[in-house]
Amino acid sequence: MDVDFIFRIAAIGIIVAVLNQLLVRSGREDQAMLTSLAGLVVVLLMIINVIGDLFDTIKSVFGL
Amino acid sequence: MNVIGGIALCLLGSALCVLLAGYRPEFSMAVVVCIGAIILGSIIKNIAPIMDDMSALISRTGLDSGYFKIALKALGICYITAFAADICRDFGQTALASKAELIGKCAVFLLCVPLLRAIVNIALSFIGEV
Repeated sequence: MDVDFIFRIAAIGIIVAVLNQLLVRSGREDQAMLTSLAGLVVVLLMIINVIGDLFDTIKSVFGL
Repeated sequence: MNVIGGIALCLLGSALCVLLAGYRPEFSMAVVVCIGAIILGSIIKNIAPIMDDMSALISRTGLDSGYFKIALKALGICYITAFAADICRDFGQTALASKAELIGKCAVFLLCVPLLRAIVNIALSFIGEV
C-alpha cells in the first residue's frame, strides 16, 4: 500500500495553508490564491495516478 | 490481506481529514479519494486469485463460462460505481452520486440483456415441446 501518498498530500495541504497565511498577512492576496491553486493542481495530479491504477486493476480483474 | 494495515489506514485518513478540513477543505477531499482508491485497489488485487478459482469451479459444473464472466463484469461495475457515488456523497453532491448509481444500474442492465434473452429462449423451447 502506498501510504506515502497520503502523508505527501497532507503535508502539501499544511504547507499550502501556512504559505497562504503568510502571503495574506503580508498583503499579497493574489499570490496566496495562486499558491493554493498550484498546491491543489499538484495534489490532483498525484491522485490521478492512484485512481488510474485502481481502474486498471478493476479492468484487468473483472474483465471490463 | 492486511486487515490491520487497512483499518489503520482508514483511521489515519479520518484523522488527517479532520486536521486538513480546518485549513484547506479541498485537500481533505484529495486525501479521502486517495485512501479510498488505495484500499479498494489492494482489496481487489487480493481477491483476483479467488476469481480464477471460482471460474475453474464454474467450468467444472459444465455451465457456460460466459455467464460467469457477465457476473464478474457486473461486480466490477458495482465496485467502481459505489466508489464514485460514495465520494460524491461525502462532499455533499447527492445529485451526482445518484447519477453515478444510475450509470451503474443501466450498465448492469445492459450486461444482463443477453441472459434475459437466453431465459426467454429456454422458456419458449419448453412451450414448443408441450
